[in-house]
Amino acid sequence: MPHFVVVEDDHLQEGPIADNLAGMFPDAVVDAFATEEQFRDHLPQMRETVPDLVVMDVMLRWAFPRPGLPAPPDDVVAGGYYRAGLRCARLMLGDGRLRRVPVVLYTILERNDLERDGQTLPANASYVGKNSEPDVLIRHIRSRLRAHSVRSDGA
Amino acid sequence: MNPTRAVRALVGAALDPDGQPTVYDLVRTFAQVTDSLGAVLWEAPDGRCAAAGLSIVSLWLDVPPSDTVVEAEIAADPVTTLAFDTGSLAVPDDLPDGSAALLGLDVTGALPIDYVDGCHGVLTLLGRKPLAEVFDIVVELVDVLPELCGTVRERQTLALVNACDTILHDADVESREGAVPRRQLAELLSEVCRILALGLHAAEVSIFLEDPAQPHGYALFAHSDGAGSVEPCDPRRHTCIAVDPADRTGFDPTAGGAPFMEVRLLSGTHVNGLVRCLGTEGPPHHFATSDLALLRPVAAQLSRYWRTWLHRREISDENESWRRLAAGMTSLNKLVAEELGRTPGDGGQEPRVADLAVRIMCDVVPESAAAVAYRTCREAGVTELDAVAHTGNGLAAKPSKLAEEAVRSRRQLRSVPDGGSGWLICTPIRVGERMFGVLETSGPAATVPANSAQVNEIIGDQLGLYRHLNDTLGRLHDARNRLELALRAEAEAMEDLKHQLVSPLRTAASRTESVLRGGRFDKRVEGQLKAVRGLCRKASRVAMSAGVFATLSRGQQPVSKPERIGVDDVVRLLIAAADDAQVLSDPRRGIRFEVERESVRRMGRRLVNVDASFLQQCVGNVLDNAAKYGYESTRVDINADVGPNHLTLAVASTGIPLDPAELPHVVLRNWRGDIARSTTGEGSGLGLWIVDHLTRAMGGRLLVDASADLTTVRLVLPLV
Repeated sequence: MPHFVVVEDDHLQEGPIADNLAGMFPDAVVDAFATEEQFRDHLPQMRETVPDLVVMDVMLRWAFPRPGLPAPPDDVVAGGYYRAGLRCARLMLGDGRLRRVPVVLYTILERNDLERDGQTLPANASYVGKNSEPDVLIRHIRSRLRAHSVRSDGA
Repeated sequence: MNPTRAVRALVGAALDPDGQPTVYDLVRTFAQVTDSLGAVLWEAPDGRCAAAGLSIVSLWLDVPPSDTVVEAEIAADPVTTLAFDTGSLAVPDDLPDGSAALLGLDVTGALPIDYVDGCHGVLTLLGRKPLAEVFDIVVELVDVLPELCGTVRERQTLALVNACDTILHDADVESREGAVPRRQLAELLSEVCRILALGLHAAEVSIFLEDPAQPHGYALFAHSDGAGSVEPCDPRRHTCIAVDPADRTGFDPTAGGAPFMEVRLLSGTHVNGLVRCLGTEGPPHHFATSDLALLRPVAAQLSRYWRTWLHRREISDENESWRRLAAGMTSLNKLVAEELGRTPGDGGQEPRVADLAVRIMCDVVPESAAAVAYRTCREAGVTELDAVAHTGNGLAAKPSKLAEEAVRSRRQLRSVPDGGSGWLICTPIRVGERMFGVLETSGPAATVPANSAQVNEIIGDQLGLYRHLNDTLGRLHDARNRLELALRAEAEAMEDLKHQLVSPLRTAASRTESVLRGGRFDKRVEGQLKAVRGLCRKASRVAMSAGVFATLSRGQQPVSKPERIGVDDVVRLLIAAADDAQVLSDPRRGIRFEVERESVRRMGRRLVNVDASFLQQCVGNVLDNAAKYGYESTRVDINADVGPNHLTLAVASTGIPLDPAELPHVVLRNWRGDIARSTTGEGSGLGLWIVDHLTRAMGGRLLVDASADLTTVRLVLPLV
């Protein structure tokens, strides 16, 4: 029973992704988060129940407005909104429990936009553009899951 | 008269507080108290010991002679001569023939006088009464006479000093701002000469001064016969003089043996000039040491004034020089501003600025003969200097070696060529490490004029700054041209994007709308279709925004195509916008968009004059903001207020608070509140900027109010 985490702040996009995952993996569990804050808050729980794969938007709002919302952490203030998904992927990469979890960066941005200025994708991340057909994402997820399974078995 | 009363009378004559006593008054009093018919006071000129040199200092006669008395031609009588030669009282009985006469009167006796300044003389009494009868009185008077003569002369000196001081002081009072002009000073000193001539019985008095402006000798500056002279020093015309190492009196063989007196104007040991008296207008027909003493205080006073005047003139000249520099800099800066405002490429800009700069240099430093501004240029790897502007004979000369060295060393260099034939200053024209040229100034004097190096440096720096600004502006101009081309291309691309997108997206939205109206779907499919419709409308709005952005980026304003819209269309437009916002808003956040239709329906039959697509764009952008920044589980109220001339559509939402101080900024391009920026991240700060422009294009206006976490955005639109 695969366990997916989808981090997407546009609910009109998050719905079809979850639907496609449910279609391909009928018994899958899908946890959806709409902001970086929600994702970070969920990290302790993810360490307890490690997901099989994370589908991550890159341009991601920090939080939904609410009264008394605290200021974002310094790294979020410094890094901003445009590469929040990369920041989340690196958080997982730096976490002993989550570092092997594959992250699929599902974004409207071009890959070379993400790798500009000498930046490289985090080692746990791969890239799928949102302008591709939905089944490309699903095929990619299958592929990452197989590879992850092989590595996990080997380990 | 007893001796005491006689002495009191003589002292009274010397100290008369109401008048200006002279030696004449003393002689007259002496004669009267001794009951004489006349008295003559003699003095031997300095350095003459023989009685033959005796000359009259003053004479008094009870009865004026019938013939004109020419004192200079009166020779001493034998009794007088005897008294002088023996240094003791002499009477006619001491002579072989027992009598002597002078000026037609009998000589009754002669008494030697030792003046307080060391000169010697004789007082001769004339009359009927033998000296023996008044001997006691005479002895007492002769004892005090030299002292009283000294006193009288001191008072004369004081009077002269006061008179000169009054003249010079009045001149200073008139000219508080600085030194009096040279010609006026010459006139003042001529007046002083006239006073000295009167006081000293001199035929003429001249003042010669050492003037830095006339470096050859002591030039005639003022004369008792003239209104003052500032003529060049010329020994042949007696307009300058050599100064003797000591004050002196004597007889000038070049002036027909006329008596003269010269007193130096001293500052310490430095001789500033000379006061010269030539010829006499009365007794004693020569100048004695006592006259030198009389003149010296005045000379000292003139010396001090001259030094002060020179100092004040120096300061005044310097102030004037800096004033001219300041005025020059102002005109140069004005020209630079004008030139920098011109379109680059006019080749005359640099020469025009450089030409004014070199002219300012020569104006501020009048001692300059020429100034040249050179520009550095590289020919075959070698830096050369080309003249850009010049004054005087600047262009005739090639750049000096000093100029080339100044460019190499990047510092100001000065030189006074061997032989002192002229001075040269070369200042690099540069800013930081960037070298543009060199400013070369030269003059004929043997020394570099005061401040000329600083002035050269200031003007050189100003030229450097101009060149730097000119180059920088040129580069900026090029960059701006390139940027404008790029922006135009981007704007055209955005407009193309708008045209490519808006039409199909609107078609997609209307087809979806048709499908929704014509069919019956389960809730899930209906929701998906509404989402598609909402996304198409939003994408269409974004594309429209891109078009408006392109228009505004070009510096143009969006052009409204107004149409008259009735209440039903307004309600429909608001409901459609609210529906889209609802569909696009994440349902988990629970934000509800509600249109208060009744408030809109108060429009009745009135029409609002707007561009429908602009209004859709404006309402959509405002609702996007309400959704983006609204708190969870809040309501966005959309209502209307109908006024006499306007329909005001208001969107009130509860969310991230706006600081009232920030309200003027919300319509600025790219402005976002700090909390909004850090919280949501997304957004470009263009939404309300576009709404503001579109609303104004429709003849309306945008208003934003904020109170705590309630924000109300109002679109005020014209009603017809």
